[in-house]
Amino acid sequence: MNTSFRTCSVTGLKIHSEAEKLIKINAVTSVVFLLVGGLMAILIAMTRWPAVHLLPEDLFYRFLTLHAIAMLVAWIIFMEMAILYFTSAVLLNSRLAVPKVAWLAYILMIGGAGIVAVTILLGKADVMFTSYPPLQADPMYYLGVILFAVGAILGCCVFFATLIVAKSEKTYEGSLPLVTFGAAAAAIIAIITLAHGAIIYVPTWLWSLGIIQHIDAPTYRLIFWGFGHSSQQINVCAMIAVWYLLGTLTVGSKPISQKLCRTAFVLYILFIDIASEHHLLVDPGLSPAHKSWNTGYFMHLAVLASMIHAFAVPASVEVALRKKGYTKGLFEWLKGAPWGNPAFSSLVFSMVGFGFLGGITGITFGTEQLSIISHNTWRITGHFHGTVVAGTTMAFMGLTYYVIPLIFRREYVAPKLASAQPYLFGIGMFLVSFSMMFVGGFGVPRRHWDITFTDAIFKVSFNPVVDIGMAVFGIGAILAVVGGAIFCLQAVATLLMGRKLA
Amino acid sequence: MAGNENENHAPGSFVLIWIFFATMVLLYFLNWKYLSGVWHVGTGN
Repeated sequence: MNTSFRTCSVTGLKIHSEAEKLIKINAVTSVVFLLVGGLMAILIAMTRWPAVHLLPEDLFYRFLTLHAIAMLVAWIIFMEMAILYFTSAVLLNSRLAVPKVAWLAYILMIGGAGIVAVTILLGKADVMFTSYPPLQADPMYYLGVILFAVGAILGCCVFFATLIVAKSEKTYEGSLPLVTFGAAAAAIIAIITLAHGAIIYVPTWLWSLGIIQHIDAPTYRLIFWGFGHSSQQINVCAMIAVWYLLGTLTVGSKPISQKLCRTAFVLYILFIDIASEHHLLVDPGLSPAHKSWNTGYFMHLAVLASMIHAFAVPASVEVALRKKGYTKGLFEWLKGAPWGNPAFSSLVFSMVGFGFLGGITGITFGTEQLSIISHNTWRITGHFHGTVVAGTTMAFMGLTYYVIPLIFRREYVAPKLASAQPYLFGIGMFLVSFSMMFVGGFGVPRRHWDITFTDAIFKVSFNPVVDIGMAVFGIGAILAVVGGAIFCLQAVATLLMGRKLA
Repeated sequence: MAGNENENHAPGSFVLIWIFFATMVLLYFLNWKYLSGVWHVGTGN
C-alpha cells in the first residue's frame, strides 16, 4: 500500500501521492473531453445559425450527439471524480482508500467514454443524447455508457471508503467540512443517477443485440430521465460545493450558517432527482396527479435548497470582504472584490448564470402548465446552457485555476490571459443562453438542422426578430468557444511549459 | 450572540437576493401571460 504524502507549501494540506495522481489524470481527461465537446459546439452552432449553415444534416446530428455526451457526461463527471478525490483525501488530510479500485474506475470510464465517442463518430449512434427507442444505436454505444456508469459508481464508492478511512484514522477533527459534505451529497445523487443509467441501458443494450425483442418506450423515457437529468443534478450539487470552496480560496469566506447550508444539501438528496420528471410533463403516459406532485410540489423543496445557497454563498463572500474593510454602503465589497482573479470572476459568472439564466427558467419551464409553451423549443436548450455551461462549467473552470498550481505545482504561462478568459467565456455563454431562450419563445425548435425548412411541404416562417436572435447566438457561440479554447490551451501549455512551483 | 449577528451582516447580498427573487416572479408571471395568450380557455364558442 502506497501511503507517501507531500505537504502543500501554500495550504499546509497533506496530499497522498496516489490521490494526487488520480486527481491529475481525471482532471486532464475532463479537459480533453471539454476540448472535443467545444470543437463539436462551434460546428453545431455554425450550422444552427442560418446565415452560415455549415454542416450537412447527417454530420449535424452526429456531432450534436457527441457534443452532448462529451459535455454533459464526460467533461463533467471526470472533473467530478477529481473533485471527489480532492474533497475526501486532500481536504481531510487522508490517504485515498483502495487506489486500485479508483484506477479501475478510471479505466472503465475512459474505456466507456472512448467506445461511445468512436461509435458516434463512425456514424453508428446518431441517436442524440436521449437515444429514445425505437431509435436504435450500435450495441457498442450502450455498452460504452454502461462501462462508464459502472466506473463512475466505483469512483463514488472510493470516495465514501475514503471518508470512512479518514474518520477511523482521525485525520480531521469535528464534522466533515461543508465542501466535503456537499461533495458527499453529489456522490449520493450520483449513485442514484448511475443506477438508473444501468437499469435502463442494460436492457436497451440487450435489445440492440437482439436478445430482447421489445423495449417499452414510455418506460424507457421514465427511467432514462432518472439518469439523463439527474446526472445534471450531480453537477448542481458539486457546483455548489465548488462555490463554497472558491469563496474560501479567493476571499477567505466561511459559510454564514453551516447548519442551514447542510440542510439545503440534504434537501437536494431527497428531492432534486424527483424534479427530473419535468421532462415528461407533456408525456401522455403519466397521470396529471403524478406530474403535479413531482414537479408542482416536491420539486420546489429542491428549489428552496437552491434559494438557500443563492443567498448563503454571496453573503459569505460579502461578510469576508466587509471584514477586510470594504464596509461602505451596500456594495463597496463588490468594488473591492478580486475581479482580476479568474477563479473569483468564474465564481461570480457561475452564480449569476446559474441563477438568472438557468435557475429561474428551469423553475418556470418545469411548471406543468407552462411546459407546453417551452417543450421541444430552443428555450429548453437555453435553460440548460445556463445551468450546465454558464453555471457548472464556469465553476469547474474557476476551480481548475487553483488545481493547477496546487496539485500540478505549475505557474500559469499567461496570467493576464487567464484573468480575461472567464469574461470572454462568460459573456459568450450569457449571449448563447439568452438568445436561445429568446428565439425559442418564438417557437424555434431545439435540435433542428434547418429552421428555414427549405424543402418542407409546409412553409414555416418565424418572426423576423428571430434572425437577430440567431445572429446574437452565433456571435455568443464564437466568443464562448474562443474563451473555452483559451482555457484548454492555457491548461495544457501550463502543464507542459509552466514554471515549476516549489 | 448579538456580536455574531453583526459579524454575519450582509445587507448587499440581501438586496441582491431580492432582485433575484423579483426577476423570478416577473419571468413566472410573463410566462403565464404568454400561455394565456396562446391557450384560450372558454366555452368553445
